[in-house]
Amino acid sequence: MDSIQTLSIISRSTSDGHQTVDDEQPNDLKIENLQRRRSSRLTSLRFLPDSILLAVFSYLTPLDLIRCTRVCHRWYLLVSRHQQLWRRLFLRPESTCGYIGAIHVRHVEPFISVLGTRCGSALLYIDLPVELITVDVLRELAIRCPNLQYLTLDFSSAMQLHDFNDLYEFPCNLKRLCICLSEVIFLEAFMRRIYGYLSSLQTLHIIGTMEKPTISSQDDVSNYETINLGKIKASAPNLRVINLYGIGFIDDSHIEAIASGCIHLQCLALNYCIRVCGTSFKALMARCIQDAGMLAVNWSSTQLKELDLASTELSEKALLTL
Amino acid sequence: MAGNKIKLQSNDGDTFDVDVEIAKQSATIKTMLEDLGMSEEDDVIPLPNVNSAILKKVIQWATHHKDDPPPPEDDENREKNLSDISSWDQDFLKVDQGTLFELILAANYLDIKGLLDVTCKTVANMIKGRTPEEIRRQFNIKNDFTPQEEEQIKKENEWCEEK
Repeated sequence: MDSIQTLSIISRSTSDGHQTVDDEQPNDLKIENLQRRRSSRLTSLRFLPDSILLAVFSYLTPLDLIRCTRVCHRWYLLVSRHQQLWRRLFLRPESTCGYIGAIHVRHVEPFISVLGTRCGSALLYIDLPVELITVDVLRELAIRCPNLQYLTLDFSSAMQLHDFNDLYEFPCNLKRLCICLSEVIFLEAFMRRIYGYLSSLQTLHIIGTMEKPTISSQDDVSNYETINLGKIKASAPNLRVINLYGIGFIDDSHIEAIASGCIHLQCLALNYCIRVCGTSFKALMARCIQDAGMLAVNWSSTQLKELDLASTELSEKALLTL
Repeated sequence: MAGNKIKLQSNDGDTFDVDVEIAKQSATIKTMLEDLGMSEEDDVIPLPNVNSAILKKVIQWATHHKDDPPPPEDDENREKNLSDISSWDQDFLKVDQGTLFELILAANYLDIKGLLDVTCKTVANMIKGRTPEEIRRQFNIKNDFTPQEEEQIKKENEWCEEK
């Protein structure tokens, strides 16, 4: 019983000024309780001050935080009132094996209001599975989460694209955008609504479908040019890092276009882009030397026999220039 | 020069001789020494918030970590990692909950960031992946929600309902 009473006292004291916890037991500060507290060793979490509990919570993922809101009053208030705990939202449990505590969003409407109330301006990172890439979600992110810097849009399981004709708001302070492509969905209808918001981008990841088990028989399928690199490049002049991973349709003409356009480019990775043969690398190198750029191209796995020679030769060159 | 010692006194009267450099991992003690000029050999620094059992542990920790680089400033943007507790620290923190919490309070009072970080991480690991009921049992916390409040919170979390 002692512990119960003390708990209610503590939880009252942490929630001072908030009417949410104005229930029973106003005066149970019994002397014996205090004495017990002083004489015996501190044996309970409830004696830790709020600042320390918040430090503990800061190590938890949103999934754990949500569970914490259901533990007791004090935890509920601490977790739901401190936006800075909600900096990152991982929303793709399927692709992360639950490892980072990703949440499966079941109801979009309440989720949208959570973005504004719990996360708000603290939100830095979010990844959206295709079903959450909607006009409403993106608008809420743009309006309520002005500090969002890292956005992942995962179209990889898309069967069909939402209608984006009404998309007039999109986060505009992004530093990093990651787009996971679908094999068959052309993203231009979506992309053309967002080109105007990409000027702050420094890092672009585009993840192809190489690792996805192909439904149809290999080859051609993955070669649809589902996203227009040239247009992204044109609307994101500050790109420093471009990572193209396992994209079937990327070839040397794309690389040449990048070489001619991205004056700040410091790093270009082309892992598993199997159609890149290396003919464009000369232009890339020339361009980057001209601009005194530091080139840290990741040749290592540009893949396959005929590339090997070209890439090694060029990586030597890259070394020489440094 | 090495070998300079100071005396730290716990709230139950024991004093401990500690290398100044080791003691200075506590920003609180560092401030006392530097700002208050408490550097004479026989000065005793009283630590009224720490008992000797805990102070002993804290000194043990600080002695082991005396050559660590200063812990990085908290970077709001950096993701916090739960799994990077060194094996020495893991062994060191295999203590009962009461001791763990007292260590946290001592680290907080003495302002030893490295020790505070690692103890908080340890508590976070005890929460991670558990259900609310398991967490309550783990820390002996009473469920003080009314049924209506529980319903309300359940509703708030409906967007990601687990079960």
